[in-house]
Amino acid sequence: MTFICLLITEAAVKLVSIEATKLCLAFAEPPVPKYEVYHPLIESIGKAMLAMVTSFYSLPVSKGATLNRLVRKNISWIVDATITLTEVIKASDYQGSQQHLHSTGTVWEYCDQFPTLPKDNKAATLHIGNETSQLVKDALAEIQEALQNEDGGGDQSDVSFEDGDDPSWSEEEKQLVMPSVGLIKAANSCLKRVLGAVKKNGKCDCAKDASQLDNLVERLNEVSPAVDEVVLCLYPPITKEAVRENTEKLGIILQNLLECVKHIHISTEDDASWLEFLLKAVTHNMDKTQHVTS
Amino acid sequence: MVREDKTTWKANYFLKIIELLDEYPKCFIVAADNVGSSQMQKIRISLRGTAVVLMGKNTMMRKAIRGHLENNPALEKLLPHIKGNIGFVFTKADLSDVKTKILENKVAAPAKAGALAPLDVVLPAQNTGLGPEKTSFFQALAIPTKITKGTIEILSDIQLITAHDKVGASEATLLNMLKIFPFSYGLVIQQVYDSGTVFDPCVLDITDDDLRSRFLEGVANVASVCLAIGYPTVASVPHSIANGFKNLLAIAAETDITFKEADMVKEFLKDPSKFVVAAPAGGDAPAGKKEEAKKEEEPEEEEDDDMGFGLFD
Repeated sequence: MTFICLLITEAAVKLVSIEATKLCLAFAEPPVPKYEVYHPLIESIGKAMLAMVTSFYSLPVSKGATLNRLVRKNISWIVDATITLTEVIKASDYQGSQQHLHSTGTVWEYCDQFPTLPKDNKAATLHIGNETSQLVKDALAEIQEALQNEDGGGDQSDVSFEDGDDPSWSEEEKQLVMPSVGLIKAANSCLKRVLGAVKKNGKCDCAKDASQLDNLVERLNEVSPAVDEVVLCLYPPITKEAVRENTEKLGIILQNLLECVKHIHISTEDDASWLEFLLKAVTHNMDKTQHVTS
Repeated sequence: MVREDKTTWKANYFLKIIELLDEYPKCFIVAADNVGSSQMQKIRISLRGTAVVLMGKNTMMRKAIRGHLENNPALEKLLPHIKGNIGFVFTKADLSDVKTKILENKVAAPAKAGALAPLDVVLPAQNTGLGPEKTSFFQALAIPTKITKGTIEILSDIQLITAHDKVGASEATLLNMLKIFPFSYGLVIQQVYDSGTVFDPCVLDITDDDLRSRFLEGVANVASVCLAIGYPTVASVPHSIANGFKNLLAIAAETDITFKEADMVKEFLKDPSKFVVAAPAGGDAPAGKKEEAKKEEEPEEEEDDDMGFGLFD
């Protein structure tokens, strides 16, 4: 059912793309087309958008809120881009312009992306998880690079901190930074393992399994902002309170994530050992940061 | 004193990002790999009055954007792209013009050993001006040379580095010795943000021809459906006539019935050797097919199944 709904929506999305092309072509150069010509075009694009939105609403929510949100977000982008196209045509007084082409290209891009979207809730969970994982990796690489540059090991030719020097830490501050970086590494490992488990064992055929993946996504979404907060509070000047507060927050998020994994279908008996190991790693790093910030 | 300055600077940086996001409806996300500080300064100067360049820590940019989502939810689309060595170029000017200015700012750079080559490097046949004691460098790379008037001369053009391959230490040393800076680096546009929409920079290069070819794709779809269901439309009638004509030619070829347009076909079937001169024109076809086959293979190479289960790497 989900697959068929998405196929129908995909067809409607393609129609929107084609209608946008027709509309742009009609107003590509003067003279302005007659009412009898452009009115059916406007009507067609309106119908295509209605078909797209209607077919989206037939997507069963019980098959996963994550997939639903992802599809809805992309549909709304297509709607926004199409509205922008019509506004650009109107604003240019119905004369062709480069702006018409940009706006049409944006509609095409969003429409072309649509068939590449995940087709079920498991794929949607992996999609969101991978995005989060990349941002966490980026944050970890950023702080590690900053630490490396301070030691004189970085590539000095690259662009440094905007309008400021690259950060440098005192020995006392470094005592705070290291366990916090350990916690971020643990976050990175958690994501790697959790996404691996989703890929291996994730199911979304029944409402219960799909809903469990949705719960997991809610927890995954909290990780990247919390990691960014920890990294930011590690740049000098460091305040112990901020480090304690942010690392504790991240630690709790990771513990909740791992607890959630423990109790849903993606973890099997084989996964118990790494789950315990990661829980211990998170707790260990949290304890260390609490100790050095007390 | 220093503590206060840095704290104020951090707070001001957030304010600066938010002000720029509010003030400028458009921006580019640019990758700044291999761009040095002095080059960045030149880029800022060249864009002065047209655009504002903002570099900084990705964590800060993401935090500022997340904090501003309540006022401008469309900024959420930027978040997944804020990774790697990136920055923003904010502007109110025409995106295509600013794009051109950004891409114009490139600086020649030496080939560093271990770096990925962005392009092929061909060493042209030339007199290098280097003394015979340097011959070993050329021999190591199997470059044919001879000594002319006490200096090393390269005898023929040599492809030294292939695009996307790592630059070897010998190649890098040789190019540096010859004072050849084969690469040029500048900001690379990754994504474009315009009033709530984020899109690939290639959208800025769309021309009227692209528009027409997209339209013709749609026409071809209509024609295919019409031909398949036997429902003639303006899009399908030319194909129906062509198909009908092909049927007539086929009948003429198989029977004694003839008409003016079928004469050539009949003559060809009678003695194909008369038409051998037409053969080279078809010679390109296999190459075209090869290219297509190559294109089809590419996506498979992009697949990456490595989940990397190593802990705390």
